[in-house]
Amino acid sequence: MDAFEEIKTELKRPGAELANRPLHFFWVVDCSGSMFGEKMGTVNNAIQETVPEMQEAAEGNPNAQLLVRTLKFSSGASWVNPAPVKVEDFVWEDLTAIGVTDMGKAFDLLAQELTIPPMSDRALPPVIVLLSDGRPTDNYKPSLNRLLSLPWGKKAVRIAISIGQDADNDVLKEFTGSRDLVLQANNAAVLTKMIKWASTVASVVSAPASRPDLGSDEHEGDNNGLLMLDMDNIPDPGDIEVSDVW
Amino acid sequence: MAISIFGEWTQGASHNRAGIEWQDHWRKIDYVKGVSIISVADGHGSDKCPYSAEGARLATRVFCNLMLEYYNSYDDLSTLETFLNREGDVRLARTIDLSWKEEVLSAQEREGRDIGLSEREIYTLYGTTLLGMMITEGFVFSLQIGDGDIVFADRENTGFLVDADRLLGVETHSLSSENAWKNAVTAVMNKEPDEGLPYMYMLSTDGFSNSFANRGAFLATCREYYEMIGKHGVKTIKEHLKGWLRETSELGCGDDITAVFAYVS
Repeated sequence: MDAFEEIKTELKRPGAELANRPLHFFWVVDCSGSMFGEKMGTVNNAIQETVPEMQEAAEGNPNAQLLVRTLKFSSGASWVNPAPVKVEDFVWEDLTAIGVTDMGKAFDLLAQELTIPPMSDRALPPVIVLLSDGRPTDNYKPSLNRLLSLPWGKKAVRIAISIGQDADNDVLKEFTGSRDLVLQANNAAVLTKMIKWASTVASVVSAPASRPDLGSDEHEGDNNGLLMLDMDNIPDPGDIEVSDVW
Repeated sequence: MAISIFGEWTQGASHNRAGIEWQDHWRKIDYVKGVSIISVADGHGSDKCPYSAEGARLATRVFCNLMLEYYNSYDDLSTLETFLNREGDVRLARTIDLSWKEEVLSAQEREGRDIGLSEREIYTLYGTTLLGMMITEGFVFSLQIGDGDIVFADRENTGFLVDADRLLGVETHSLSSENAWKNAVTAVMNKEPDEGLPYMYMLSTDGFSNSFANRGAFLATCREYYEMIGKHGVKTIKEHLKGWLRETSELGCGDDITAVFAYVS
């Protein structure tokens, strides 16, 4: 070994510890009384089934750290997981349905977590999946406006799953910023498909390419999801054979 | 005094997995007649920007050629410095913006691509950021449009030369935007070339800084590069650089990384 090779072998990469980019994924679940029974059961089963798939997808991308959390709302709102949980450690805890639909309280809790800090400015765009079967019973509007005024609130990929025919799709559209990201699920089979599709969004967002800023005017009513996701992949409820409709 | 300008790139680990080509480009004009010029561009690489690698190449060429033209057209260095101080982020940035867009339209016509698109749509196909630096014998001029970093280090300090507006997530200001020049940030630093040797400038795409937990960790890394160049010499660091950048991308954010150093000793 000559002198140069010796130096080459010894030299280690300069610099601080390397870090992948955090990606926060939020399940926000309506646990009001109207979700009792088959709806809540389907949500519990479907999300539980997505966990291993999300873990496997995350394993394939070591450059993003997928962090998952569940937020439930009914009479009030609370975190099932108060702190972000690495997807490899994430365990779904079955939710139960009782109470009213305090969606605004859920938006308040989300807004607290999407503020910088605790959010990092180098994170990947967060993904928020909101599932609801009814209309808010609290004054949700100021809370939603506050959420959507936050830098990360604006940049988040916001998806809503509208469960049954009594869900307030106008409110869900206000949340997503686009009708295209309000996914209709009127029975258990479709709801399962929609939840599974929503769970795959994390892997799309975790390996993004840069994108030119379009300017504030073009962002009005916009959602990162429309720019980052392949909307053609969303399951078509018409393709799923069912007999019962909620 | 000697200026060594060297750089390397690595394809992003996550881009590799997704089959996305390297979209960065860098260019230099080595020290000649008292001036060195460096530019680095990071093509966006998204589906909407399929020709961003070419956009990046055009951006580095436009910057280097224009800066050399400016340098040659001024007899007096202090007059050029005054101009760049006052007009760097306006007239010069506007000229760069317009020149890049002209080059893009020429490339589009030459290649006969995507006929029937508006000019704005065409620019998006080639979307890229731009970092640029001109090192003269009296001052250093830096320009930044979009994300990335321009860093200075000497025996005592390490810091950013340009305080650019940073967007969250994966969005960046781009040369492809309408009035892209309005997003240009520039800085002029007075610097006698022999003062405070050795010192270092570094221009890097955002994949480098995004691979560290925070800005402080990134600056500490830049400092270590500076110290290692001083200790082991340019040749040795140059030999290792590509491997280090690859490791940085693999264990960091997974994005393409290009880093160009100007070491003055």
